[in-house]
Amino acid sequence: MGAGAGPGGMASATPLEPPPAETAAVGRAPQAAVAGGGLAGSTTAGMHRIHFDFDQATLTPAAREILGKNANYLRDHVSTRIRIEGHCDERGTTEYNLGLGERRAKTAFQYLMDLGIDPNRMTVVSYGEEVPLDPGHNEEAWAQNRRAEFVEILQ
Amino acid sequence: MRRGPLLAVACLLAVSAPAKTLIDINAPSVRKLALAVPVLRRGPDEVGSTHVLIAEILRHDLGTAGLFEVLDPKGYLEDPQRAPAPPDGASYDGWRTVGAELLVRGQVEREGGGIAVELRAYDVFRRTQIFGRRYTAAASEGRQIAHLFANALLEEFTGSAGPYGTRIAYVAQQGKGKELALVDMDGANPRRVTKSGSLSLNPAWSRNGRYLYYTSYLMSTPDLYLLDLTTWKTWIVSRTPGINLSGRDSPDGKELLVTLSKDGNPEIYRMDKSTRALERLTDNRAIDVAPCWSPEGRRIVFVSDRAGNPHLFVMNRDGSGVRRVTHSGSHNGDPDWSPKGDLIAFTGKDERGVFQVYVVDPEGRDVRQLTFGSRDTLDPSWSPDGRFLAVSSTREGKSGIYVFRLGSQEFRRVSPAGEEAVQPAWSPRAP
Repeated sequence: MGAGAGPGGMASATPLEPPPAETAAVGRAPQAAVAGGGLAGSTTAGMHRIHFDFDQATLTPAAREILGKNANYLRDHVSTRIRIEGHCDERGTTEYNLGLGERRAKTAFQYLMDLGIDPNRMTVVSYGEEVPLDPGHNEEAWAQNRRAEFVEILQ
Repeated sequence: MRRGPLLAVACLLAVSAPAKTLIDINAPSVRKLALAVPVLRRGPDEVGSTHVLIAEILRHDLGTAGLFEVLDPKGYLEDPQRAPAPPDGASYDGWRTVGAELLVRGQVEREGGGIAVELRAYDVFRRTQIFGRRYTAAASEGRQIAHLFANALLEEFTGSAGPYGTRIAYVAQQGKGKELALVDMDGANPRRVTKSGSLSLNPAWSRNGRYLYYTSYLMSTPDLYLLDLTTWKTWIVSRTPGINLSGRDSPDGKELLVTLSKDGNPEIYRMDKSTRALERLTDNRAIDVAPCWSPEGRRIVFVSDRAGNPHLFVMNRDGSGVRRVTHSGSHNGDPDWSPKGDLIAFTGKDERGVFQVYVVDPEGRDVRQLTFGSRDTLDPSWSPDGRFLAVSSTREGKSGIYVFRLGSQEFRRVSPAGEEAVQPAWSPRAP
């Protein structure tokens, strides 16, 4: 099953009501596709990650320069497809940071597209604050964690 | 809280007319009542330590209510095995000597394949029984029986039943991934409920307490799932492109609030659970996330950065009538509407940038800071009676889940020591 049983199991009470609306119309989850499925990756060699200012999704001049080089890499490796992952530092709330991470990833996506990279070669995923690069709780760590990663999608 | 199939409750008649409620909750300051809870009498066939466990849990639960001062059992004089048994009254003079104003005592015996537990509360000064309950259940249900009686006692005294025995779902770090976990509100029975090998986040309870909605990267993108806690089956609720988040069940259980970014940026939608039809409630270029129903289901509080930075807003259930609720602070989020309806708890930042928990009235007139200190405290979740909040805090180093009563500064960690725990979600009452 998609979500494994917890340790020790649980004596289940017999359900008293018919299958509720909750489960009637939705789809059963698949088996876990691969162990560790969906954990964030890190930028593939040849490209570089970019960083963002606190609470911002706008591109710094340094970020633009890196994106230019990433675009060159993508032009040289025409079959490479990438997943752009947006991340935040821990200085925010859970759901908002998932939104901000997505905004960051989409900003990078748009910039690469403006540089001529085919949008069909790129997808966007947000990880919010859930996968820090640096687990520390200080300004240095937070600056590292506010980032977008460019991860090659292996077919 | 699960109930064993044998659990049954009967009210025990008082020996004489029940005393009036002892606590006037409208009094300007509530003095705590001195409460004694000796271990229970044991019937002749009863072995094991259920008679001790029930008393310990009652002392713990009632000690957190803010109404009782639990007297140290080392000072009790009476041996429960030799005490007068009901329907005779208690030895009131002896308990007065010890300083008790309220006495809870009882007995446990074998019955059928399980146990029968009687618990009675006495007003020591008026020398009467206030009320009593008799429970029959499986032998392993002693803990749940104690919680049920504590809830009933609180209801007797305040008109509002306690939350004891309910559970808190949360997210535990597991290597590089995150999994959902459960723990009883007093810290008992911590256990994992997902083994996804991935990131599983942001749990939210169905109204009947049977399911958890959560977001997981099981299929490499943030999708919304439903986990059945009694069968362990998992269903996909929403797998649209982009973010699938929130999973907030309406009070009548018929609709679900979800946050989706499929239309360009995160917006809040209301899903009819039986037809799966989506109604879009927000429509702007801001990040709109974290919806939470009011207890009567007519309004929704949510987080939006439409004003520049994240603040709390309230709207009607159809998306109309948007009104801003917080006006200061650089980042406000994680709102949870109290089941009593009068307060919304949320995460904000204090003047030093440390995360703290605040409450605000739904009209946004009065913001009150609830937590203090130099370590972050965030992500509040109300108990079903609105007396307590569960929060995530780094006050002891690693992030843990803590519980505190509104109006007190006593924080009790309920997630296991050494585990990094975040994102608490307090369960509803057992059905």
